[in-house]
Amino acid sequence: MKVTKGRSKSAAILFGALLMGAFVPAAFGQNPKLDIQNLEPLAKKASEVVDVNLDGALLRLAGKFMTDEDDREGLEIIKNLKGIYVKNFEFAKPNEYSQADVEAIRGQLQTPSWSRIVSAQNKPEGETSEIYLMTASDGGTVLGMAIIDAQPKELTVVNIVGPIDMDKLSQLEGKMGIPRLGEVGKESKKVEGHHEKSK
Amino acid sequence: MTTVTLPQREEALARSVRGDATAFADLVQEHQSMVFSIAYHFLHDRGRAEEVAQDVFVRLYRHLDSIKSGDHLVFWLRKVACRRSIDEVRKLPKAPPTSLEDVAEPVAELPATDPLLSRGLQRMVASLTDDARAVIILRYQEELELADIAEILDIPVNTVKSRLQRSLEVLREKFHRWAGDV
Amino acid sequence: MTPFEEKLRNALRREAAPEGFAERVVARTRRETQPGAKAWWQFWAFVSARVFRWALAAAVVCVVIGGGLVQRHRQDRLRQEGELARVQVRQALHIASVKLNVTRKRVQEINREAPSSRL
Repeated sequence: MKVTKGRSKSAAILFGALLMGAFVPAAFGQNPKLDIQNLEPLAKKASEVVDVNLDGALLRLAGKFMTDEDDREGLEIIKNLKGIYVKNFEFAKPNEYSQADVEAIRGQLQTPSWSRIVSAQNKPEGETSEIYLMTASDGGTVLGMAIIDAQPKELTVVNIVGPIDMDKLSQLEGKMGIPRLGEVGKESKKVEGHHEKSK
Repeated sequence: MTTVTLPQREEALARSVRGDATAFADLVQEHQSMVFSIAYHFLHDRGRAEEVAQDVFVRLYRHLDSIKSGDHLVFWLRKVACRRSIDEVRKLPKAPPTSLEDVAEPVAELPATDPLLSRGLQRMVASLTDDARAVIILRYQEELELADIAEILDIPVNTVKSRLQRSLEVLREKFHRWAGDV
Repeated sequence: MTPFEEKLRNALRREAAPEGFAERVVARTRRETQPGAKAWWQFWAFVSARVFRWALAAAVVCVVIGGGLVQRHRQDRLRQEGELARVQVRQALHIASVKLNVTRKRVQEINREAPSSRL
């Protein structure tokens, strides 16, 4: 009798969990927000750091101040997002960060929820660039995006939480002060707010 | 300006405490530029800055016996100058928002010491909140380390760091909008 | 220091105090520490006692005005926060857009050079 009751109870719990799974993706590994805090110690070694942590509330606040003509496209992109997190480090010398630093991020992207949609590697130069997308189980709605760009003297991780439109993001080129691809060599100098570390 | 050595400064301080008016005048002359500049970069008004700077030195005269050393004097003056400047900013009616249109736009690349560029930046600094202004002035006018700024303003170092970072980003954005990629 | 910080440092370099500043300070300290100044303070204490009721009323008015100033201060802070957030959004979108396009371009180049080794 006890065993039967126990089995019924377990089945009920399992059914409830599966039901919740349909409505609470975040609780079951479908959390598009990455943990990139492990990269923070790299700031001490970097000559230039960009560190952006904008949750939904801050994005809403920012949106109220994005009233210039050239903010229009950016505002359109962020309007339904829940978070934007960026860590960008530039180093004076190569190999100032380890592969373990990058693997700690990449490891979070190995779950079934994430799909690597683009990957470019140049092993002799030590360059890797990857783009990951998390989509809902219906395969349609984008839940988040991650970009890892690892260069010998620069490491960038971008994590966007929410329905990001990649085409619109890509088309920002030439707007909002973003250089066109031909000018990309100067990109790190033109990033607004790029700062050297405080002493 | 006559350069004052450390022993001379300590001696002037000791004589001031004993009531030597000439020694006190020497102390004022040595530090007047620092105190006046803190007030001026806060208020962007020479008249008000002089009033504030005078208040600071008058207060110093009343508290001379609490000053322990030349270094302590400099610390004390910076602290009181910032506090007095913040009080002055808060008590008077709010000035109209800083209008960058009031400062002519540069038409060509500006050298680093161009007065037009400096005036523009000074106005931008004067448009920051009081707390942010204090951090920026102590960092770039007085060239202090973050720990020293934290001690003067009596706030945690991390608060100094985040205020500094935020203020620099706001200033950069304003500056780029005004001057382009100067 | 970045070039921008250098510009800031130049803009915020110390200014000379106005001519005669030290003399005015010394004169003022003499005035405010004279025996006459003491008498002036005693007179003020006498007057203060008589106008206590008015001082209380003024204090109430100050609290009300102060509340308004605090509110304005909060609004200023919010404006600062909002402007900073805007700058950071632009930064982030800038980096994301550039990296996205650069990665795609690298893939296109790799595919052009060696289509059989497509990732």
